[in-house]
Formats: sequence, structure tokens, C-alpha cells
Amino acid sequence: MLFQTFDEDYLRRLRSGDSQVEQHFAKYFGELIHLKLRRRVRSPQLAEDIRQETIYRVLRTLREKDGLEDARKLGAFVSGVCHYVAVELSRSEGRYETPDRDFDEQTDVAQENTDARLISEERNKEVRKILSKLDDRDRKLLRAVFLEELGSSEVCRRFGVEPDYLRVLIFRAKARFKQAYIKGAASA
Amino acid sequence: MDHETAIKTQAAERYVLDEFTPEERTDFEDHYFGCMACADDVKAVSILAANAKSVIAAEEAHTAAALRSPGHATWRFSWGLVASAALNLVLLAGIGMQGLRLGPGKVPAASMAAEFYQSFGIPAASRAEMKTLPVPAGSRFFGARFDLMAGQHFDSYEYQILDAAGTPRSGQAVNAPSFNDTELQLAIPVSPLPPGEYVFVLRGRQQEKLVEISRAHLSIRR
Repeated sequence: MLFQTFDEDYLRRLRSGDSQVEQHFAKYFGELIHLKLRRRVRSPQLAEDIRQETIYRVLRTLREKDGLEDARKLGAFVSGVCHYVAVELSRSEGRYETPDRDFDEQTDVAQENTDARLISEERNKEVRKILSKLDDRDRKLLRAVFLEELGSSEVCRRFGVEPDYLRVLIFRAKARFKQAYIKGAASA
Repeated sequence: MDHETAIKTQAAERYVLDEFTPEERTDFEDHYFGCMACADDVKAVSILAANAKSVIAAEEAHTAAALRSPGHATWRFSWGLVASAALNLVLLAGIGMQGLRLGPGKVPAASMAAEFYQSFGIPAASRAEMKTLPVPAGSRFFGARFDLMAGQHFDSYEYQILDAAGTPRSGQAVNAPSFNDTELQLAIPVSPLPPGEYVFVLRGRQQEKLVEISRAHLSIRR
């Protein structure tokens, strides 16, 4: 079942324990929680704990008498709960944490990385095609941003490009990737 | 943040590039958690970023493995390379001296062939925009000319050639010449480096103190 918006009906069914809506909620927001934590939590285990705890707390709050009433605010509410859970769990695990930045800046040596769930052979193939069409400088720019994870100001300074250039480069690569991926999914 | 603002400001790209202030980031996260179109954009850029990282890392690992394989000359910085290059410099100097002693027409058969090479006056270290040194395709080395300031003296000189990522690809330490001159020229070997853009850094060492003499873009042409 596809849900296009988070409306009163969605919220009502979520409160009443509709398993279909619950499944959609956990899957949809679970992915967004992982995206939110992607560059701030290095440990996949910690990210997964934050995801589960956030989903649990949001559902519990929704079922309380004075829980969230405005369905349009559901997304922002989940994002806010996720933030507090991340700060809380990071603290309890003794992770380095600052109030407005990274929850966990330590790399967990026991794991590969939190990107694993985003990577697949098929996606690699599409991205390889996109990279092969870029000129040398644009490829180096993406390397600096994605592989070295340098800040965009540092990348722009190093390569002598404007921030707009970098954003447009990524915007175009994203558009090509979406197009190729949608085409691939449609033909599959 | 509303959807229109998110689209206009390329918020998904800014988000993945980590360009937002903490407040802006929270604002955009609150928005895309409730906006399926923006969430889809963030997801697409994140997937692109994660897969680009994995593809580039795999390709570089593959290239590095190929360079390390037997029969393929390695061009990364190594003491072996330093020793070999230093020996080349000594040989160059020795051959030059021998050529002078023997005079024209008496050069040994095994001597190195004479060749022209590009030489540049390299700028003094400053915060100004870096000069570009365009090294022609096929060059085995280029000349780096520099001036010492009045009273400046170094025991040795060290240079490094860094790639776009800032990784040293080549470098050597050379003792200061025996002659006393304020204008010096150093022959920098570049033949092991593939064409591309680099940064050349020259430093002088006096006892334990390293002083940057010059920094310039180095463009090795195809």
C-alpha cells in the first residue's frame, strides 16, 4: 500500500494499531532516521538502537491521550524525538557528543560503516557509469567530497570552484542517478 | 522551511555537503521528515554519495594493487625511490663534471643524453594565489629556480609533490650545494608521475627547523 501524505486518517490508523500503517511508518521513518544519522553516528549498532527507540517512543506518544494532534507535524515530531534519543543514547554509551553537532564522532572499529545499507552492486554500477562521464576535475571534486568527506568550503578552496558549482555538480549527478535508477526499476 | 524554499536553495545537496548551520539543518530535517519529495531527494543524494565513495575507493584500491604487482614500477614515495633518485642526481652531477674534464668529443658512450628541460622561477611562499608550473608532456624533470633572502641559509632542502587529495606522491631531501649562491636551481624528477594536477612544495631545513620556501600548482601535461 502506498501512502502519499501523512493525514488525519494515517494518524488515526497509526493510533489504533493498524498493522499495515504501522509497518509503513516503521519502514518509511526508519530509513529517514538512518539518513539523518548517516554522518553523525559512525556505529551502525548505535544508529539501529536510535531508530528502534525513536519508533517506539513516537508510537507510544501517539497513543497517549494528549499525543500529537496535527498530522502535518508528524514528520517534524519524529525528527525531534530522533534528535533527543540520539543525544540520550550517545551520552549513555559514553560517546563523544556536542549539543549541536555530531552525536558520535568515534569510529567503531568493529563495524564497516553506516553506509552499508545504502550500497548495492546495482547502485554501484549506475554510479560508476555516472562517474565515467565526468571530466577529471569533477571526478576529483566528488572524490574530495564523498571519499575524503572534506567540507565543501575546503573543497572549493582547494579546487578553486564556487560552492554553487559543487552543488550543481551533485544536483546533476543525483538527477542522472534518479533517472537511471527509476528506469532500471521500471524495466526490472 | 517549506518545500519551495528547499527546492530553490538546493537544500538536499547542501544537507549532504554539510553546509547548513545546526539550526538550518534541524529546520530542513523537520521539513523532509514530513515531505516525501524532499525525503526522496535526500535519499537519492545519500545513496549517490555512499555508492560514489565505495566505487572510488574500490577503483583506487584496484589501481594501487596493480601498481604494487610485480613488473609494474611503483611511483609512490619510498626510500628506494629517494635513494635511486638521489643516485641519479649524483650521476647527473658526476657526468656533468666528467663532461667538463673530458671536454667536447670525449664524452663516454654510456653517458646520459643531453636534453632541454623547462625551468621555472618559483614564487616565494605567500598567501597570494598559487602560480602554476606547466610541465610539458614527456618531461623527465623540471627546474625549480628560487632565491634565498639575504642572510638565509639552509643545511638541506626538501620537496614534496602532492596530489589533489594532498597525498604525497613524490619527494626527496637534498643537501644544500657546496657553492655559495643566493640563486639556486633544483632539478625535480617528474617522470614517475602520471599527467595531472599536483601541488609542489619546497622547504628548507636548518637544524630542526623547516621553512616553506615555495608552494605552487604543478600541472603535468598529457
